[in-house]
Amino acid sequence: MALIRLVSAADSQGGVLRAGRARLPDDAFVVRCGLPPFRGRPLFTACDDHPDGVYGFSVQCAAALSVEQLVSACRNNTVGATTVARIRDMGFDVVPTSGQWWHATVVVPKGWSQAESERLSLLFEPISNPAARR
Amino acid sequence: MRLISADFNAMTEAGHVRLTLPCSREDILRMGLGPGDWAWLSDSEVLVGAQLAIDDRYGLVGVPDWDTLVHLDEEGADDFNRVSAALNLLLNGEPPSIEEEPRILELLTQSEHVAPPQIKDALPGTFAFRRALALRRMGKLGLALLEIEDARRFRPDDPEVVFVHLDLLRLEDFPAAVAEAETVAGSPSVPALVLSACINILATQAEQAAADQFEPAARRVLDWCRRLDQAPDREQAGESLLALSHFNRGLVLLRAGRVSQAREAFEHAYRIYPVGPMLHEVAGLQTYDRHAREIARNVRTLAERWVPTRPVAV
Repeated sequence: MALIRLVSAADSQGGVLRAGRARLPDDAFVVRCGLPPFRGRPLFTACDDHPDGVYGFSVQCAAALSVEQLVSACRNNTVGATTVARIRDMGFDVVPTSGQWWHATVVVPKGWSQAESERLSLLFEPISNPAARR
Repeated sequence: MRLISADFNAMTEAGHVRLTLPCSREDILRMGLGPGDWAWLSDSEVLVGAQLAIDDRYGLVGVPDWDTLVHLDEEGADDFNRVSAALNLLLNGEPPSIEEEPRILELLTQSEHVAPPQIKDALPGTFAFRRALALRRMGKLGLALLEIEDARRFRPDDPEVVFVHLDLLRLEDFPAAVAEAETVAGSPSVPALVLSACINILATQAEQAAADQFEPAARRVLDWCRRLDQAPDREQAGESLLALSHFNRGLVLLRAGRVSQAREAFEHAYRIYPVGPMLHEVAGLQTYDRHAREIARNVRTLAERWVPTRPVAV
């Protein structure tokens, strides 16, 4: 079977680093697909080094978008929603990073604890996703 | 089920799932998977079939086939009785239409997910086997092969499972199908149903063989056809598959220049299974030429529907 090698859109556009983009406003919504507090995929095990140079877990977030718009990126029937401000209040940050739709990364320190990740997961409120993508 | 923990939030611009997260890496390492392999990705709420690939920017990714999406978080999906009732309604009535197969795939997977251990233990490989049939009908051959291999691990001697495995290998990985057919047919007690699949594979190989390689392949096809003629359980192969074996015998004889024997085999095939104009046309073949090869291809395509499927109650 032939080795499958893909070239991402980011690379085809010259590997633009998106982490340097404008800071997300505090009132921007943050959506993570899945039922909070994400027991099926705990935040602690969902972190990695994003190619844009940050460490953390993936979410959907963009300025001036409603929760409904962000949720439309998800296939899960329930999603978690919070705001950038609440995440920053806990000492973390959210930055736009390359990926599908309005991909962003909640940036956390590499040595963060499981307890911290569980506390952060409690910020996300469950929202039903009536238009879960099929 | 070959399952990789995945996070569907971590998607590339192309819509591929990044598999560089610790939870994914652990599963991939444990199962020794790499680019080109098929697997199921799941965040424990939704599950989807995907082929692994390398993305130059993101590293290992899964390319999901969203036609195979299963919602484990659907309302009622955690109720085994409800899910199995819906499934049995689809499986035990009229043969399901192709449009119903994605829902069957979903219900099978939901059902296996919540089935009590005693049910899973009593039906080893059943969910995987029926999933393979659904995926085959949906044209998802890579995932179908993955599932039938899973079913065969649990039911290595089940003739239906081995038949479907050989047939999927024939469609997806022909050299592997030839090797497997030779191994399986090497056993003197191979069931007739399985032998019919082996004959179909080897006859296809004989058809494709260069002139100097045709004779040994043809000899083997004819030998296996004779074994099938004498098999005490040959009725279990069903009329359509017995007819296909006679058709394969006829085609090999035609290429060998034994025209009258070939026509006899074709006529025998048509007598056993006089369904559709194709086999009738076959009976008129006199020379092994492009037209004969085209008919052979069409008959094999037609025969892909002749998969033994018994109702599966869960």
